[in-house]
Amino acid sequence: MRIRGLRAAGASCGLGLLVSCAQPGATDRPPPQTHTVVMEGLRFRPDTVTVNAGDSLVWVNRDLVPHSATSAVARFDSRAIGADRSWRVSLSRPGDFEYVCSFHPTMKARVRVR
Amino acid sequence: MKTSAIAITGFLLFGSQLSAQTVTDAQIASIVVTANQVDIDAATIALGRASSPAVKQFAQLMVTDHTGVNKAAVELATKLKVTPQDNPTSQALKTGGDKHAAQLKSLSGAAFDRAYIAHEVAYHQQVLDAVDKVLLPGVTNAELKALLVKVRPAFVAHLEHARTLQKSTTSGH
Repeated sequence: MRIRGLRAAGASCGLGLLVSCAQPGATDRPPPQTHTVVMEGLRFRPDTVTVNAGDSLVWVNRDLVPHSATSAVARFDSRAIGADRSWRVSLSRPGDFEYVCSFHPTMKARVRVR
Repeated sequence: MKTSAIAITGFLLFGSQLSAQTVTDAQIASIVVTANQVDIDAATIALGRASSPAVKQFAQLMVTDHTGVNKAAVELATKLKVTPQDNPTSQALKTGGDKHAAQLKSLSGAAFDRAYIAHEVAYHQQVLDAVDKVLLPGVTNAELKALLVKVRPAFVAHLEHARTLQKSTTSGH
């Protein structure tokens, strides 16, 4: 979607204006997206997810036991997400954050916010 | 030492009762429910007697997780119209669980923590062996098999968690 949008801007502005037309701005910024991380088999899948600031992350628990998505550094904590339940958070602060399931210490993953 | 002896006796008893060729889905359902309940019972005792916060936290996890697994198992058995059938293995599990519970009730403090966690390590290994060597090879119903596959990673995680705790409980808090 983003690539198609930039190409369209370049074509309409002409080559000489491409740089200024393609500079990041309110109109060029991709709309916030929702990314999904599945908790299944006592793992986060995918175990690394990269998002843009302002995007949302949804954790879906496909296991039979409760899990959490908890990061002290990124300052989010879903608390218990029951079986077949989900939890959403919007991430605005750029960084590279590890998070865990607070119930199952073997479950670890990472979210990168650009 | 006493805990290890009971754990090994329990393992041999549990293992000797099982055969992938002869176990039925109704018996598997009973074994799953009993195995979970035995661990819930031990964890309930631990919640009242454990001294280490980390051991208490583990015990709470065992109650929560094994209750969740049993809920799913009972719901599936009901849906499949399978009545869990008592069998020598589920009986051995229950008997072993009762003996372990009696032993736990005689302990307190750090000795309790060590005995409880040592048994959790042995027990989860024992259950995983049964899942891999008997229950999964023996199960015929696809949904019951899917349930076993789905819960297996939780047992693995519990085993790893218990092993980590065992290192800290044996080296002192």
